[in-house]
Amino acid sequence: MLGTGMACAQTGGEAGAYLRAPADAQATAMGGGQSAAPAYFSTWWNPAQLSLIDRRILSAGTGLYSQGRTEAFAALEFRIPPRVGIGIGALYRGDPFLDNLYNASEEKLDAGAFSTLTAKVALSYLITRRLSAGLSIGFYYQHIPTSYMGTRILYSDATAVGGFSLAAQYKITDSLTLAFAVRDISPLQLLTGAPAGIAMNWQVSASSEQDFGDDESGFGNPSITDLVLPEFVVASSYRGMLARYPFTWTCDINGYVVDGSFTRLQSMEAVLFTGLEWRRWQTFRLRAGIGDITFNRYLASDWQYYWQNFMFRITAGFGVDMNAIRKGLTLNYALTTDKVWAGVDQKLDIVYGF
Amino acid sequence: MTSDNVRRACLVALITACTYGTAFSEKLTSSEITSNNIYMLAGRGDTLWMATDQGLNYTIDTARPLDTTNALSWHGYNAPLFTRALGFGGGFAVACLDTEPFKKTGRLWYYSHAAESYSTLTLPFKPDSLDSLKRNDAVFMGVGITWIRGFFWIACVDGGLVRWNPAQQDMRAFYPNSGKSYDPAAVRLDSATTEFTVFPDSSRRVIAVSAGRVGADTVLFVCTPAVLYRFHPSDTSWESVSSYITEGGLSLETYHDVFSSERTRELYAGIAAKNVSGGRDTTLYRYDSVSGGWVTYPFLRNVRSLTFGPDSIVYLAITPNNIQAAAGSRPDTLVRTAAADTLICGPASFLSRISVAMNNNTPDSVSDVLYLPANDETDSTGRLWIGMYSSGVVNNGLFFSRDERKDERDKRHFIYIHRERKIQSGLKQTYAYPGILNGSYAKTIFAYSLSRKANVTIAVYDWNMNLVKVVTPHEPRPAGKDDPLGNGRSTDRERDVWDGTNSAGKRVAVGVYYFKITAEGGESSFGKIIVAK
Repeated sequence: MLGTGMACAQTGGEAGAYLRAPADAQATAMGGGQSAAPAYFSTWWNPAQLSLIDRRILSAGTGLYSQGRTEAFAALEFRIPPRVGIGIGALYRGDPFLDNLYNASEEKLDAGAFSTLTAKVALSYLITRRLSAGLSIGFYYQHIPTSYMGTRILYSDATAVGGFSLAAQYKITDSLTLAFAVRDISPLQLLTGAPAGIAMNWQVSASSEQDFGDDESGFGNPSITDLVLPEFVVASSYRGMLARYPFTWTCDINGYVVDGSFTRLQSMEAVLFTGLEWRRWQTFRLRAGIGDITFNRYLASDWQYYWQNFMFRITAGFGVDMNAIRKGLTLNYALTTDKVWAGVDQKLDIVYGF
Repeated sequence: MTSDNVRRACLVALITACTYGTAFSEKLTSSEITSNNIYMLAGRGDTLWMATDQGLNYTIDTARPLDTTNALSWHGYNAPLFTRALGFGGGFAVACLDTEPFKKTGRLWYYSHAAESYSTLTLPFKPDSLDSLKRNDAVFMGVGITWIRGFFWIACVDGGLVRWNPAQQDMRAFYPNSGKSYDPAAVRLDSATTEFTVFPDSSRRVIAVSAGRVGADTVLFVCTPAVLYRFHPSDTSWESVSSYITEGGLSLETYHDVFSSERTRELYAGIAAKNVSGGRDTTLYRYDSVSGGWVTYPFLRNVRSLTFGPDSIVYLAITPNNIQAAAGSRPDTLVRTAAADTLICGPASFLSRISVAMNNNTPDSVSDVLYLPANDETDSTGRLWIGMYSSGVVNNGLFFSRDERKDERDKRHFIYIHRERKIQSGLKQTYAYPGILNGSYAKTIFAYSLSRKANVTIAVYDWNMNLVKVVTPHEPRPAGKDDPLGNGRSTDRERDVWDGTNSAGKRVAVGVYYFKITAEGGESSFGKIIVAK
């Protein structure tokens, strides 16, 4: 078991881990699969959907993951008839509770926080009645403790501009939609001969067990470059009737084939997210799903190792139409298990269509 | 009722409702004891019963030679209500269970060894008939039980002293200082009997009962808060025991418990007495039948249980983890001389013998002690049984000696019986140092401590909880107390180390990483590491 575990790589530890978790409460409640025909936050999920939305959508939400990880987002999306859709959105993710870190002398460090901000501007074009395409351009920012002096934490930042996400969406029938997306690549870098992954550049000071005050000279600033792992997505969405009431089924398969330098991964992975929304009541929707079902080589070669280390998540949630307060207002909530039994994740969104 | 009490009551009601939805009591198939939290012991001859927080257990053939390789086989029954008192006699075991939520009447759970079957019975009092008396605090449940003269005698608080034979299902109630007996179901306000016009009366609450002997007559010592009675079952007469306390400046205030022995004819009671300055002094007293007064044991406070051993020795369980043996045959000496003269075995001796049995772990809280002589007629040899409980997860169970007098003399450890715990590693003090990996520090060490040797797995995950690396895959680690460096760590400083790479040896990206240390039995702890190298 250990032998295979030590010999092969997975996606864990590749750059941009915080980008790979599902965003917003509706998608999270449905297993985390929402790339085909998302109801909102299409700027993140699938920019090709923006030219198909029928109204302006303002959305905002927050999430609390296990182990103190947090999330917040906001987005505005609208269509310019007849063929163009535009969206802007921003997503914060981080961990503000880095309060149990120690230095090499086992003295407790001051509390710290890990923060990221990802902003995207998206554009969509309706090519035919059934086919649309989309593109988003991103801004990526990370802020994290990277060294210490005594018990005082020192931070570093990394910024990247120009990460692209490309998407296409095809409506096979009135009920069934298929979508393809490539997320977080930097094709413009190819023009300079650099790898196509989004590059996050860090300058990291050395740590010291002694605090020299503001004098941080002489500690150097070694540079580190991380290339964000690209994500390839195939997704579908189906709308039908279940027990005489409407339902929506969604499924995303995220493939990880190459690393940020576009070198083939030793151990490729596919991760499946699927879920249902059932509109049994006029103003209330139930959602449930399964997320992070990982397909990798361990599934066939070492079932015990796979079961211990690649647990899926069970998700549930609901949406409530709050037209009584304001027409077009919806509240969404999601609750999910954690992959490592570290707790539960919760998300809460407000969506306003106008 | 405070909001906390309301919440607690709702929780208890919910749990009880769920439990009752399946079965009140169920025979367990495991030959192990039901729980390591043991609250009460009862037994006679070769049979031992005990009540745990999970139900009831019994084992027979306790009189045969036993050692660790010659273990007892246990029979177990779960019970959804807490056991208030446990008695054994006449081939029956009876457990007085707590009242159900929002009810005032307790249950009896009883087992017939002849029929090898159990049953339950709700005490047949009618507490609703007392509502007009505004006595909402009336309680009708068994809080003490003993067996003599073919009957169980149960201290039923506001229900008085109840006499019951499970074989005949004959139940009668006796109220202190009343020669009449009554059918418990008939005790109500509208009874023609004027005996109960002032009932329930706190002075008639029966809170403890114990069997003893006066001359050739077997009697019951029945305790109310204010009076200790001597009850003669033969003619159902009551006689109060003197409340005169020989210790100067003390006046008896409240009885708490009573302990007596048919074999040694001794009588002890837990009594709260008020001293001259108005303070309360709750301690153990011994009745001196010659002087007719009570003799105090000022150093024996918070006595939870008392059992009569050989040679006029009494063994005491003293809260929280103190077990003592005192010679009770010389009360005058006991009172007037130093404690060292009166204690045959102090706590150090008992706890040492227990600790060795537990591989040098420290026991938690003692709940009950019971001496079972090998022969009812001659008490020279016998086993001492000790029940332990714990509010935590460690160090409790059942202990017994092979022959207490000989074992005590030879300082032989007790034999330890406990149920294997699922969570037993006592994982704690988990963190990684340094918590930030960069050019200065290329590796981090996982610090943790186990209370006992266990297999450990350490895995690292990224922000999205994707596995990065299994650093330590289910490897044995020692207890922290065995750390050769004396730091109390179980860490293997060569192997419990992460260098900021994934399982293929590739450097991981700058970010926050989460580690999970899992100890044998499923106990786990999380921590965070930052990688910037």
